[in-house]
Amino acid sequence: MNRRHTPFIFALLFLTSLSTFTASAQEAITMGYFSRVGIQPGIQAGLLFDLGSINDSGTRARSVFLSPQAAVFTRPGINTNYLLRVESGISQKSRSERSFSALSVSAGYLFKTEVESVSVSLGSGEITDKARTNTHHFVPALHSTYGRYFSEKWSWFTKIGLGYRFEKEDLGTTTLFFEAGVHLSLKNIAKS
Amino acid sequence: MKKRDFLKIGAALGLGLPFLGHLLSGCSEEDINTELFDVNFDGKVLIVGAGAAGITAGYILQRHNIDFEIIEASAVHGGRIKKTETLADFPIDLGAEWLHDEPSMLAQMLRDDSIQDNVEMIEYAPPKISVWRDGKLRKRNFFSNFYAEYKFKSTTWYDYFERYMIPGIQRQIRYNQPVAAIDHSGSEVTVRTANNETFTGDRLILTVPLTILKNERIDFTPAFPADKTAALEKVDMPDGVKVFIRFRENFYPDIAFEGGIIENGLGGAEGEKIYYNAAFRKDSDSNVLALFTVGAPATVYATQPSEEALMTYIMNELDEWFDGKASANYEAHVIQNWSAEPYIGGSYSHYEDEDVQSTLKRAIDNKIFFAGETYAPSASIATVHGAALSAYDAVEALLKNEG
Repeated sequence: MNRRHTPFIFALLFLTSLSTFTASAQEAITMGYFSRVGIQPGIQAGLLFDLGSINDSGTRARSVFLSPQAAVFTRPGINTNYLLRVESGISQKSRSERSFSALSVSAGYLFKTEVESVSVSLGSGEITDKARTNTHHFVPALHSTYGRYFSEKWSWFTKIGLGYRFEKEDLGTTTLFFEAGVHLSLKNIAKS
Repeated sequence: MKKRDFLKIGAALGLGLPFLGHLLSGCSEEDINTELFDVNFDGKVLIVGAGAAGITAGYILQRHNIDFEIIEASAVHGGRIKKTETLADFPIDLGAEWLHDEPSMLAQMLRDDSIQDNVEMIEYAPPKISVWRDGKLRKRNFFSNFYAEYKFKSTTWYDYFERYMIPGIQRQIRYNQPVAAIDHSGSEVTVRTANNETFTGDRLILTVPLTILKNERIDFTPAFPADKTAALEKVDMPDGVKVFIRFRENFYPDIAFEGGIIENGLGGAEGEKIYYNAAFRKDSDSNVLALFTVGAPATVYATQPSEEALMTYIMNELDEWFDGKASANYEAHVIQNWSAEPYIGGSYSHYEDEDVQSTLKRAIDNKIFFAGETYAPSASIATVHGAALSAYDAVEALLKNEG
């Protein structure tokens, strides 16, 4: 895959999902900060489908959700990562505390493009990427989410994830994800 | 963790998002200050030592058309910058090897925008990391997220100086002249070497390794200032050893630490010891595993009675770590024991208290100036570029002549 094309393919996939979502008028859009190990910054966006309630006590409601997401994050100057994943789990909403939490699992495809070397101009100091490698990874992960509603349509959330990035030649590694962002609901979740 | 990673963490936490587009672009430009210094001096300068700082000081003085001589104790220039081309199909840095800053520092060290050349630098962020602990080699690839530096791709630190600084100054280098005495009691500075040769100048830039001063191998007249002598006690230049071993096959990770990564690897207080793949991203067919160790972990290697004993010790260790694969695949090796180098005597500066650096760095009577990794700006102490930057500081102060 040509590196230049990657963001466009990514955007296309996301926009396709978004249009499908809009057409079906489902639950929420999610977006925010995304990082690996807290120090590799990025952004993420996704959709949140409520697949149905499994328990509703009046004050607390549990439901199953499905969330396709796209994220891009970078280790500055070293690598750029594009992640497509589908997350599914159980979300518990507390109507009295206007909060929610979730436990979930995800399966992701990670495309990593890494700088192997740079070319440095000894006159100007200009640095240009010289050689890159592209690798593809399967990244399953477990997630824990906590969030609160601050309006009828908006809520914030924080999420941590523990996953494993599979790679050939014994290069696989544990991966920590830290995420924070907002959900924009198309229904009044907090009141429902 | 090196300075470069601190900078990246800072950028990531505080500034990463606003500049995400820039970070993704893979291209950046630096402002390189190429202006010459103001000159209020027209005498002759003696430079003692032809390592990174001494060479850089000569390079700067030559660009300012100042008369100078470099007095070098050994038969070669470079100091702790040294290379070999005999072990592998790529040149190997036997001394300083990594660049602990952004690659644009290579231009900052030259400050000459007429140079058209580019140099390729490896992003040294090895993904395969292991730790030897409790008798077992354990995979710790996760730590690759926190470590990154740069290395020369197909050249070396030695080549950098050889190509861009040495040509203009080599005629001013006097080799095999270990300095025995410096007399700055008169209007001039007089240097007497162990060969009883005498050199005279108006100013002197002293770039010898810290051990030379700590061991009082140079007699000063007047005596070396007492506060500087006291400050020397708060800086150490401990043992340092590098060993490069060529194997038939690669059976090792990119980096293997002994013990905890934090305490032994990423700048632990007691020193460092790593085995690392010296051919990482070198476009090489050679399999070269290197030992790099400084400080307390280095002493057992530096004090072995012979090179044979040292290699036996290392091979036994590697066989234990890698299930006998080291002996089975061994082909050749090169040892560089910096502690045993007569005009070096160790690795690089380890400050107990960096506050004493200003005392050590202060010029004596506007005649004796100091440069070298010991006197580098605080973020670059114990680095090649730090030594070069300290030379710029020393030459700038000398040329201002404000004493």
